[in-house]
Amino acid sequence: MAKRQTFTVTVKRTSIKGPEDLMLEMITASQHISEGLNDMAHLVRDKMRQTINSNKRRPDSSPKGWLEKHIEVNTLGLMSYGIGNKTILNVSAPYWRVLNDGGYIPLSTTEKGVLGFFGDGAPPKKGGDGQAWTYTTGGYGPGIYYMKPSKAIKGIRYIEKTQHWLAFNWKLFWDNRLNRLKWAK
Amino acid sequence: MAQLRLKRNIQHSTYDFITAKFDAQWTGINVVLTWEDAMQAEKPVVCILLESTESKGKELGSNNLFETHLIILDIYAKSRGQAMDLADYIKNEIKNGYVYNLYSHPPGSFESLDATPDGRVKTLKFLRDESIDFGDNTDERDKWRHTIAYTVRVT
Repeated sequence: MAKRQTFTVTVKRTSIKGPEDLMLEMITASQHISEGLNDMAHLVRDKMRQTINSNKRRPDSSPKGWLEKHIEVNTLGLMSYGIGNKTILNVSAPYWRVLNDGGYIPLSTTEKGVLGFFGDGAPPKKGGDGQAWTYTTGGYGPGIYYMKPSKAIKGIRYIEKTQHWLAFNWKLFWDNRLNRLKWAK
Repeated sequence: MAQLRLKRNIQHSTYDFITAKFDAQWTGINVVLTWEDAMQAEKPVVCILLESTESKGKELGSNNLFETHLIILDIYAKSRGQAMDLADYIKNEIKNGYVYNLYSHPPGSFESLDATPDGRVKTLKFLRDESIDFGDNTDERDKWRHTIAYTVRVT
């Protein structure tokens, strides 16, 4: 018959001394997560802006980078962020959706066209793709004309490409951040 | 013998998988691989596009890459109901992944492709599954559109 043995186990709390310390640790950790999410949100915004910029078919007209300019980080809560505000975009850059998904928005029956000019105002040459369109206000006149979009555009999918980038880099981002914190201690 | 590379292999594998499913259970669905073809083909159309690839080093001591790919399926349907049915059907079929083929042109022919199974296209994540609606003033081609965006990797 096996001999019965008695052990004494002593558990010592070394780093956390009490509930107050645990609370402090949790607050510090949540601050790190909140800062990390904020940094990540800005990286996502930059990625989206870069994706739009690198997929442009025509150079910027005035004002430069209009859609990119209106894609901002919106703080929705302590740990919640949104990129781009639909309400703002619908007013400031209403073409954001068709630029992403591709398609064609026909002019309404009452619209003559979009007033402005391509390039320097000279009539576009045949096959001269890639000139910037400049919007003008006021009236029709020399060098200013009504442009009637007639072709569908291919979507550049900047939203999905950014989502893909985020999904791919999410773990890497947090791994790097946690490693940095670990080595900083 | 000219061989296709990874991205086109994925795109063609997706095409073959979806086309085979449609041939068995649907009629009259046009599946295309370019946006230009999607603009020309008669509706209903499903357009398969591999839009982007993300890469990083696979492991220490190796030059191999770990890559994921973004595939977008654009559905141009004849009605809202058809768009929704097609989207649900496709999503249900692709969620478990499908065969990854290596494609090559047979000698002297660039019209046809030979397929050799070489793994699986694994579906990772669905990023988007929603209708595209540009409002009341919409072109006929853009009516009843639906898009599915998902990421995959080859295993």
